[in-house]
Amino acid sequence: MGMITVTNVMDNEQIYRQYSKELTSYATGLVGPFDAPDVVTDACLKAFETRDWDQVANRRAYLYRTVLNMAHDHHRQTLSRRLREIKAAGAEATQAVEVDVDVLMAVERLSVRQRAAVFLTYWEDLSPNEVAERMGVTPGAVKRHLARARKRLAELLS
Amino acid sequence: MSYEKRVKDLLGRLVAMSPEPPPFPEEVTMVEPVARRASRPVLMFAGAAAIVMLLALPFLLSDFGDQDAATTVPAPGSSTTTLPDTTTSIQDDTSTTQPVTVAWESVVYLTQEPVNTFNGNPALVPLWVSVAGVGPDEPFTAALAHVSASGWTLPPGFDNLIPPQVQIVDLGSVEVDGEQVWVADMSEAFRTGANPAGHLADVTMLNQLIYTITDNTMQKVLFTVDGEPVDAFGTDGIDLSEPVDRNSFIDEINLIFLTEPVILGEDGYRVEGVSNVFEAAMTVRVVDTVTGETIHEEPVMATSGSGTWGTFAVDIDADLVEPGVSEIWVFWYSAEDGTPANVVTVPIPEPGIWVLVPLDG
Repeated sequence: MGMITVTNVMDNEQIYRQYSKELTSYATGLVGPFDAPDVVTDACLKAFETRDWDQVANRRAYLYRTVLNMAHDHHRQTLSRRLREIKAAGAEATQAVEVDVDVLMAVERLSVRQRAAVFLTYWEDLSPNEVAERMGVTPGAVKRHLARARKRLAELLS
Repeated sequence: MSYEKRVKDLLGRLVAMSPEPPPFPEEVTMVEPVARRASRPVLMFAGAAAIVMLLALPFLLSDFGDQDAATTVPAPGSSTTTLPDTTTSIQDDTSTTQPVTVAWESVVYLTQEPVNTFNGNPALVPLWVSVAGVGPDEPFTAALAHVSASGWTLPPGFDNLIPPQVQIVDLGSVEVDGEQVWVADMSEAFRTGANPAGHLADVTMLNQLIYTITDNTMQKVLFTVDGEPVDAFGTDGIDLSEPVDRNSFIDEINLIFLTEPVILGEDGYRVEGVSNVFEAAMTVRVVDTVTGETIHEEPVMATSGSGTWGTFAVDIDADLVEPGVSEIWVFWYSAEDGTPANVVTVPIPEPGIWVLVPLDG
């Protein structure tokens, strides 16, 4: 039971370089831009430390699932707290951190899984089966998440 | 503009805020899995402790014969710690001879026989319970003795291996090797162990007590009888002369068990526990107990697995759960035959809390 081998480190670094940008975008869709880097870092560390990581067939999908799990730990309260801080800081601060408060307020209406389903469906243009694989749920669950997200966003987008 | 276009526009603005990817986490090369796992037991139960502390203490510490008195334990060769009076939920009518109606609310750890178990060990499942109708003259007993199967109705599918005559006579704390630990002074019947008799039942009974008593303030408990440590407990004469904690007998619990009661929180029904399954990959399922239909299923990953214990937590959308009808399953899909294994099932009560009543009440 020693340290992770050099070979694995190289593999992991290559994997990281390949997917970190899209994972960061995905995490931004789940928790907002403030915590996305932390979520991606934590998720990758967790995945790389998994004992059976070498045996994972679809590492990209696995990383997406891990990011989703990590994002879930952040909860909506974190984003809510950030939004309150931004609002309290005023317009100048809002401009400084380059955030679109309206968009974040819309995202805040959704659960983390609903955000994931919406992001993967409408931004990544994935099929329900592909979304299900990335989220680690059934295609039926994806449809339910999308239906609820649509309901919650309907008023905002009408 | 179509709904799809509006959503894409929204997502485009969101992605535009996306920061640069963080640098490759170099520290992964410094991680030694063994050392990291060794530190997990401390983290493992920290989350559960707050609720257990808040809810279990009133149940354990209430003394209806002398409610103003603080509870102390005579610990061998040491000073004792005074514990606060935390009796709760009492509707008192002491001006008449009518029995006082009280309801204790607490988290208690019951046991459950998992479906399709691999190692034959029972699961621990904490439930948030309210024990109603306890009279004022009831002697101070262990919380779990109050929900003994012999005297109280239990939720279906749950057992309590603590015999009614096994009681916590007093509860306090003592310093052992520089660490403050709980001291549970037990009734004499504690020495003989659980009902039914046998090593696994004894250990399960111990786990019920350990998990109920310990919290984030003190993570170990020393069991005594008449103030003396117990050096021979149960069928096999287990030595309990040193304090024990939640990890002492963890390998004799089901490969999946819960550390907090499943209750409705801000983000839905939170399912939180500990597991040791292949690839740390589990599944939670919401089942309609009337139709048998699976309403929802999703994966959940623990922090560790495949031979090591890890923690897990998942929030299930409240919309998916119908209290009084739904049951939440936690399991892993057997790599051997693909069937749900080590299944822990938690029914969701309609009022959100299990109200237990005496069988003869």
